[in-house]
Amino acid sequence: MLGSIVNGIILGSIITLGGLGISYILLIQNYFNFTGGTFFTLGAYLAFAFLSIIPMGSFPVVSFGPGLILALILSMIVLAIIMTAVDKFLYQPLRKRNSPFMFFYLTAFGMLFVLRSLIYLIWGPQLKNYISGVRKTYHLAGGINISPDEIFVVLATLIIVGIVYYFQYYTKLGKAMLATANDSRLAEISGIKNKHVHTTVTIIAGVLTATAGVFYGLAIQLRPIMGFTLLMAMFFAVVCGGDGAILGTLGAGLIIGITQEFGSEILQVIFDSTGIPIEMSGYKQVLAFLLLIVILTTKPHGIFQGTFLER
Amino acid sequence: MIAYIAALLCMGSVYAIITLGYNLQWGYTGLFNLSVFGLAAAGGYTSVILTGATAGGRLGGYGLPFIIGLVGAAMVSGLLGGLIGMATLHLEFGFFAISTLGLGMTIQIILKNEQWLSNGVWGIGGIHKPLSGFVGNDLSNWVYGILAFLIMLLIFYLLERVVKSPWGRIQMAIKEDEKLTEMLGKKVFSYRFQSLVLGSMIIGIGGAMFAHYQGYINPMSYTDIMMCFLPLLMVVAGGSGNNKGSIVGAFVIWGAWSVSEMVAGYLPISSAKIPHIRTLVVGIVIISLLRWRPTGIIGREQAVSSTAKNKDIIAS
Repeated sequence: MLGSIVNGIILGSIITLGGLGISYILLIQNYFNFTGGTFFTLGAYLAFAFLSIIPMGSFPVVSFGPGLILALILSMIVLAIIMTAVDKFLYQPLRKRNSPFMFFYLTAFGMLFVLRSLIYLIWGPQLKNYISGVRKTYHLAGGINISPDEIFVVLATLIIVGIVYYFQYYTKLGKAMLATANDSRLAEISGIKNKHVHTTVTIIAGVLTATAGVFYGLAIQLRPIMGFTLLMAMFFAVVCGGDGAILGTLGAGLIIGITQEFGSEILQVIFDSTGIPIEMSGYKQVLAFLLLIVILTTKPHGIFQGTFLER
Repeated sequence: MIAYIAALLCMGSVYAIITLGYNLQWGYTGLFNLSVFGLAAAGGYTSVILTGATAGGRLGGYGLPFIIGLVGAAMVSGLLGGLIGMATLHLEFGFFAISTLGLGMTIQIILKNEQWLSNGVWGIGGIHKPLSGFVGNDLSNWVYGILAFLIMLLIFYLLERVVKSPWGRIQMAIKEDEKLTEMLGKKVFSYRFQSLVLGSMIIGIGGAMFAHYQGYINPMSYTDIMMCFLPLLMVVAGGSGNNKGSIVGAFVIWGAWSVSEMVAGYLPISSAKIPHIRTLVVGIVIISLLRWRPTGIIGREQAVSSTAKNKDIIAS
């Protein structure tokens, strides 16, 4: 029971980072990025590709080494470049000719399949791991199994969210982004270059998405479909967080992570005791989807105080 | 070759039915419904459960006639579309797209997990083609193809009547200028809801026709690539908001898709990679169409609203 709460927190941190990647695109460019989940997978696989060149090395406590950190940074850079290129080549013309938003969704949906098939073509459908061999795991009281890697993932997520928060609300570039999100024409009049803001947003989204993907690969494993299965949870984090507010997304990400792991276990116990033959382990995605529907019908602007613009 | 033409007639008509339903939602009303694969699967399974002769430990075995199966498929798919519409249709465009994608994934997960309903990943086999008892195996594809084509033509005729009526013009007006339509006193939500349910019913019929042609279905028969992405491409390629274009798009794209399968057999590529290469090509085609030719091959016939100055709005 307690173990699944811990697993939920780990999953929730990963969902938070992926959700932030989607919410940045949503706030400045005004569309839900369906490709977010697949970029997430691509980021993780890019790090895997770099790790086959870079020697892993070793750190004292955790089971990965400095090689993974280097691969993570390289994967961030490459994914940010890929996402910027996609944005420049596909979305900028759409923005320029003032297309209706359905074109953005359609393009994002097309990109999803392009990237997914590329991942299948290059890396194949097998499961992969960054770390070969057995991981160090602590067995604590209450059935908690936690590895130092997972603690690293949670702590690093908190630090990254803190950095993003500081950048967003206390630096000039972050404030310029807020101004563009609020009223892009007014922002342009006051001297903010819209083009630069779009590029910055895409780069931030790329960095966050790549980090989320690598963390998923580190804490769980690499699968070609992993981002797509988390997509509903990421959208939940974005919507429930209050129009993509940064701290709200963290809270909502943790909520959905814990619900997927701990809530499904609780429901399993309830179903077993009442004799309903449902195996909950297959329905974690459905749980995220149902919660998303509940949030959308009751509180479509999130359950937390403040939004991205007005924290 | 002759057998291939029969197969093309069957699958092309099946896809044309699904594409017509999708075109009503996306091309006329502008609903970005991503649950096509779920709705088609719901329709297919409903029809199979209703018409199957034996159950074998799962729901079904009612042995009802084919036409009842189609009606049941339309009703179940329409109900699912209506449910998701009631929950999320009043929200923004993007929220609706997300929730429909979630609905599709949910239906697929349910079909995978619930063995009493769908026999899980093992699927259901031995589905009868209608009329195949009279003509034997050689001709059954031809008979079924002609039947599917006739059903498709009937749906096309009805849809043309519907979209040329005031109701259809309101749908186009909603897509082009939602606020203006609302100001004219039309209930936008209600019109959208009707379009969503009607389109879902047609998609359900298409899914059922697919199941009866294949003879065996499992949850993976209705993947998001084959049953959502491909119809989307057919709609966009034929020109959104054009029923004739949808039919042409369905036959052309399915023809290209099935020929690519045959061609790929001669290329020195491992067979595991071929489906992904085809998906890649389809994805690149759809993105390029949007980038350079948003009107599709044929394009929309007319725009009802003169306020729709933006060319893309008319085109989409």
